[in-house]
Amino acid sequence: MRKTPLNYFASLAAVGIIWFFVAVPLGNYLGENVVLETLTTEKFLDWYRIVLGGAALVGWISCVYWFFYGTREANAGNMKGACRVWNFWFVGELIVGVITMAVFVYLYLAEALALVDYAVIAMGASLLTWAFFWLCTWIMSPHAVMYCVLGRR
Amino acid sequence: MSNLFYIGIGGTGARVAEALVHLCAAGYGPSDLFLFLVDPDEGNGNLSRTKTLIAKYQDVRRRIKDRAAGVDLFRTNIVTPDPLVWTIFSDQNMALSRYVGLSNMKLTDPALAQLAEVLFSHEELNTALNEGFRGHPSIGAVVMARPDETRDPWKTFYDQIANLTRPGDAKVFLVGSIFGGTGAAGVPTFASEKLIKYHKTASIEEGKLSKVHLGGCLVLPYFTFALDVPEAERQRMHVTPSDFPLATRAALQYYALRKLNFDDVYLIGDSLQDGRVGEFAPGAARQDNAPHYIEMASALSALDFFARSEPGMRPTANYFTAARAGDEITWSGLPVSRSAANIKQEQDRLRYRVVTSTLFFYSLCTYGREALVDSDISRQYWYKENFQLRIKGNDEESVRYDPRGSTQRDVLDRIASYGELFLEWMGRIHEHPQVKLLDIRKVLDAELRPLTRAQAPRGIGSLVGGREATFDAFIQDLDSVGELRGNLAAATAADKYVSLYGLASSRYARTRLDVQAPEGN
Repeated sequence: MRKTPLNYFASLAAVGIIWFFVAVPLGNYLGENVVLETLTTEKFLDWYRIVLGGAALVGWISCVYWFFYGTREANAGNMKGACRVWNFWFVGELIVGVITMAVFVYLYLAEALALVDYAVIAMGASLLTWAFFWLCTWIMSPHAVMYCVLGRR
Repeated sequence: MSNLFYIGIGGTGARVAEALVHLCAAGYGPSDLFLFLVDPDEGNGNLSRTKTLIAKYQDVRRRIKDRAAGVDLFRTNIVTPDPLVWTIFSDQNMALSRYVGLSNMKLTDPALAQLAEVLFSHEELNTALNEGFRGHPSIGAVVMARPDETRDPWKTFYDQIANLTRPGDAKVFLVGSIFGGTGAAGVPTFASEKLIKYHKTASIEEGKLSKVHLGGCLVLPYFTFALDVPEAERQRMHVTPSDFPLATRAALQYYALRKLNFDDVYLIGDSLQDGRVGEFAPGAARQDNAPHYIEMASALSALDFFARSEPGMRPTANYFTAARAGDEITWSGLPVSRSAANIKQEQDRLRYRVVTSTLFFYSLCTYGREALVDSDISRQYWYKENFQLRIKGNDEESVRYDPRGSTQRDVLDRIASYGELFLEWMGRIHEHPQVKLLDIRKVLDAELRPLTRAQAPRGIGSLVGGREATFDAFIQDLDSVGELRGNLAAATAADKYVSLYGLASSRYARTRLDVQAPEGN
């Protein structure tokens, strides 16, 4: 699973599966439970799924870049630099997660979503951004850089 | 117990032994080898260098217990007697006249004394022989004719021969120059009937058969040196390059006339164009000639003899000659085998072994050492999979499994120290402009010390002409070795280190430098 391009496709499949579970079952649960003032349920779910899809795409691209980076010859013996790169992308994904939530807050400002609804959305966004990045790099990083992942060091 | 014996005679014999030991370190040697040297010049620089090298080789080999399959570095068990060198005389100021007891002889047997004075000049009779025979093999022939069989190195040698039973069981190989002093004297003397081939320990059926299959490498002139002979030396016996051709001719005529008991004879030489190995020195520590590729070629003749000679009664010896076909020395020009059918395969095997061992020693001396002091090494895959950064547990574990601990670090330092000698030897051979085996200067500085990774990031990948690769690629190959399993899982940290770097070197040679291992290698 750590070999390129197998990890590219495996991570794409993983993010697709996670997006599906976050977007469809979890989305349907939200759709049935949120109190909407101006949006229809369909519109709510459309925005929900599109924004999470965007976050998932960024998450996947981050993983792909990390996998590519880890196979480059020039990085094989530079663990300090490699770990800095992982840290940078992980923090980046944290920021993407925050931005994703900010977009949802903006989109649903006029709606009467409860805190628990935002918490569920935040969980979904996390699963597709920083948590996905961390998990994917934990499982699928090329050997050369696998010990840069937080928790493996 | 080994049935393969190498006897190096004189300075050339010692330098060929040096090349032979390095080839054994590269994994190109046999599984066992008994080796000793003959030289009255105990302080000779060439001899000292070889003695140090052999001691380091044996020390390293003793400390490596387990290794991965395919890593054949230091494979050969080189056994040496104690002392390693037969210095012939116990008294370092011995002269021929004193050795034969000329003063006493004049009283007891005047006719014999007069014969001695006719055969030998005044100078030859009275020069101290502690710096060798100074290009006068006639002196050496007298003093080497009766080695002391009750003392080592000869005692162990003869004891081992005695323990063998069948004709040709022992393969004994003599190496010496025929244009100098000690070698020119020792080679025909040791090849005489009763000294080795039909010695009482070797003789079968009252001299009809022999346990010994005897080979010899007669090294013809291959080097020259600066002719700036100091005034003090001009009055004493000394040899100059202009003496070499005449001495060689005389020796070859002598060998042709006299029945020597060789089964196989190798004659190896080179023209003297740019073959300078140093400055003039009559002997002792000052005589320390730089390595030459002819010595490697001569060592290859020994290995060919050990591997491919076929014992059996023959009316005459087999003669093998080797010299340069053209100006350049490349892998395809090295004389590796008497058999035309497997020359190419043997050349490929030699190339593979030398390239991988050069990669091994260079990477160990540079990145291997850096890794042991780099705090970030804990995140490097190859290190993390095989070692812990800090050993938790009792001291015994730390001693055995921590490459950064003093015990294992000491072993690795000794291997790296040997590696530096190997790289220097390769560097010196390549100082001769015709030698085009490796682009060794890409990894060595002007003093022939290994360049660091930062100084030569692409050096390691440029060793073989026409290829380009980086040191980072070597680290990738280290990572690709992964976790060592099986018998190596519980091996010491030093053994694991050797296996890791050995496997990575092999992979790098094959995939980055296109140096393939022949089948059955």
